[in-house]
Amino acid sequence: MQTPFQWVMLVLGLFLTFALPFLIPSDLLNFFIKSFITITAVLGITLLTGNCGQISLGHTAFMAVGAFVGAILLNQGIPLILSLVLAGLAGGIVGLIFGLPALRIKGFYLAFATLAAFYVIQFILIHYFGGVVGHSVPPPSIFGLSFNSDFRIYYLIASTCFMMTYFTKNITRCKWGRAFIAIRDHDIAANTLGVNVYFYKLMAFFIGCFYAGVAGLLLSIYMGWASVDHYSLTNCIWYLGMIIVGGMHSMSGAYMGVFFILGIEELGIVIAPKLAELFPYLSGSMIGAIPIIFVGLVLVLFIMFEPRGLVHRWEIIKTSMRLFPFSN
Amino acid sequence: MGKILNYIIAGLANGCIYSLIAIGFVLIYKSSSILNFAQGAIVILSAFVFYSFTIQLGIPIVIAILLALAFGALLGFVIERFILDRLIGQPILAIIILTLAFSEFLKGIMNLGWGTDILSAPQLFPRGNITILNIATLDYSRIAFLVITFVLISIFAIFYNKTKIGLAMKATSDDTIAAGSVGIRVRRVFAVTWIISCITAAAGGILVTNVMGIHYKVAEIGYKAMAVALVGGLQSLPGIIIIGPVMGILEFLSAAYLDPLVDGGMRDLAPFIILLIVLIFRPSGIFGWERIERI
Amino acid sequence: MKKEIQTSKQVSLVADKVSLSFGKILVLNNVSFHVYEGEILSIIGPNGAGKTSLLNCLSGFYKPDSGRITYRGEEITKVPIHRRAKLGIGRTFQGLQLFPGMTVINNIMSGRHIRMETNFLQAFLHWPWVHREEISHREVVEEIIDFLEMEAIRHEVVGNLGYGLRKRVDLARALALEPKILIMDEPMAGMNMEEKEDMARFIIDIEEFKSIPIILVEHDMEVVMDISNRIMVLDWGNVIAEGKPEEIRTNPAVIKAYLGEAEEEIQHY
Repeated sequence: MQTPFQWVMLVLGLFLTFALPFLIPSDLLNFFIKSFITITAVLGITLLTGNCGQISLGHTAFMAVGAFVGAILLNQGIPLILSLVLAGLAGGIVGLIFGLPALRIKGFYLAFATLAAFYVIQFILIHYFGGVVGHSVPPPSIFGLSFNSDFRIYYLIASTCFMMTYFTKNITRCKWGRAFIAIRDHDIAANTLGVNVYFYKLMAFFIGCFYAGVAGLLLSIYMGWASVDHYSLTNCIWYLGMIIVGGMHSMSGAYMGVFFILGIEELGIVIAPKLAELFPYLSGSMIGAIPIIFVGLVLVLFIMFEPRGLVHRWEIIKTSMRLFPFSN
Repeated sequence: MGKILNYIIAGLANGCIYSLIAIGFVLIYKSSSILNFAQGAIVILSAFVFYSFTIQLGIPIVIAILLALAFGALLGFVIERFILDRLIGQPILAIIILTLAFSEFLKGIMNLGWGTDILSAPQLFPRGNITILNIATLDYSRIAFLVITFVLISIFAIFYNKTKIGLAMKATSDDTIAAGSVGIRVRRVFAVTWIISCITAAAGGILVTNVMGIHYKVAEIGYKAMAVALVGGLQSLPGIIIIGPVMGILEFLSAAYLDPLVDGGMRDLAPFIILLIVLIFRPSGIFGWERIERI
Repeated sequence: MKKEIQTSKQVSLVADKVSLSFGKILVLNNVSFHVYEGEILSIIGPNGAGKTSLLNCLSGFYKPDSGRITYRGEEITKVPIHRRAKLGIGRTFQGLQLFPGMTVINNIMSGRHIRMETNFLQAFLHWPWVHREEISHREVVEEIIDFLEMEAIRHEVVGNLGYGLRKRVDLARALALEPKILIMDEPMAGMNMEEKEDMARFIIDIEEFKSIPIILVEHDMEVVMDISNRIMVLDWGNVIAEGKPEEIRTNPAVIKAYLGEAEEEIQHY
């Protein structure tokens, strides 16, 4: 927040966000609810993978942990805010445990170990926590105000998302954030500077998966149900794709990436029925397959042609506008 | 006693297929440092294509097999020519997500093209089994797996060790730049690598789906083959050939003895748990080399 | 640019019979030496002599097979790497190991890590604790930037800088630790004449103004002879000579180790 312009944009953005439900048709609201939930989860990825360089292919599993723990707590009557924090802690602690391999392995091996973690966690949730059927989640309430409509849930989720964004900003601009980046860039050098790499790597997993736990509970509150079906491997891939598309190192990257990819997915969902009419002989479910095909293709193309993401492209555009007419 | 032997044989047969697929996987990694997460999708896509050739187009089985393998080769070539260029030198995260996203893309295409029911390709192997010494039964299909994979892996081994191109592939995996500077056509080696990799994937796919049925979820076998490759260490091809059957056996044994304890599902989970355990003690895999970072 | 030899003989670091092997290869063989407060000790030797391995033992990347390393009275042979920074051991690298994505300022700030006191909960909320602390550390960093004459490039992303400047950032980062001993691995490597003079000047200034001993591994004989108080010569993992520059210059064992051309170079000074 360095320039007055940025302050204005921030205030404008906040205002728009809170005025949104009044400005758009209600079915579009679902898109934004989903977006803010995803942003909360993806901010965790930005910290863990974008900043600290630890690739985690199991993010939605940690979301599921938070969702299940949160659902059980809410069903017991535990207040909403406490449930959210505890869901986050649950996600964070499980994340920390499954992040232990990161102390010894890197790169591809770590990515695959986190994939293995996804399957193990999913297995445990299904077999010991009633996973496939899941738990119903009652509409939560704060001080008697019940969040029982999309309208109200939107505000809950948007506010939580903004708070988590604020925390992310604070983490990145203090010693923790710098330690994360140091570990990503050169963990050996980080060690010589006094950064306890083991500790900070585990903390990165804890914090990143804390975000996942919170986001997971938010999703199940929105859906009214906590079930492993909502937390798929495909989404793990999409989340990582979102930070690549948006820009790995920044929060604006997370925001841009989420809106862009979810936008493409939404496009797929909307177009699917029309395509089904055009090509009736294609078997298989259009609604299921088309969004995946769209997003998959977009990710592949982005990584091939714009791997530094939208934020980078935006910087280039800004610079060329400033230098006009000397830019090419 | 007989039961254990049955499980071991079944695991052995499946494990050989993992090795077959893993070979392609390791080849790509050794030559271009890319972990091809889409290997599983390619395995099943080839099986779907084989299905279409035989059931939907009525092509005779043998020709259909050759065509399906040719499809695999073509797919490998296309990937190498159009995607690989852009991947070299990119950070690991980008490479991983690209192959994963591509895998999802392929799965979506398969879903669209062939639906979500489990399809059956024509039987390649006679049903039934033979009994050995009255203590174990050996399905014909399992025998076929063992024999065919043995033949294919042997052909590959001869190719890799005795031909000029095989030598070029070895050189390129050791040091791409050095290989290029002694006149090896590195692009051509990459193309050959991908083509072989996809052919092995196609072969594995045709074999495995004959027993398991064709469905895009079977693509998860790709992850199991990857687990085999990682446990083996991503560097050693002979290592993969040993590890594959071992993992297959462990998988079936754990399904047999642990499933009742945990309500099923151990078969799919076992390779991952084995991988996690191995990585604790040998972070670079059992036969892998450790990278020493120079300071 | 000859330096006055300090008369205070307080010991900063002691290596006692340090030995290290990689498999069958003996890299260090019973290496022993002292480093005194306020001096610049240079370690020289032909390539492969084990100099970097010795430095890596001092930093903690390698654990010696036998022998002890004592720093300010405390044994540090087995102390983990990140704790040595807290004890005041600073290090610059042959291969730089900078953080390419960060600006110069942030790279140097990362050296302040161990001096930052705010805990996590305070970090979560930022104001006012972290803000205040960041400002105070920023002052220290600015001081170092001034000292090493890097004002012009403070906001440059390190990846865009030239080699000589990057080495300076590496040095700045090590200084940000407020080290009580500085270990430098070939700081002049790859520099031109001008850059070397600047770096030599900085090294002397550091030793003078911060009063910390400096262990220097270098190949450039002219610089080494000019700025060192004492020189230690390694060859094939053994210490073959140790003493003041004039003594080393004429030491027959040293001359033999370096063979031919170096002999002329050394005798020239």
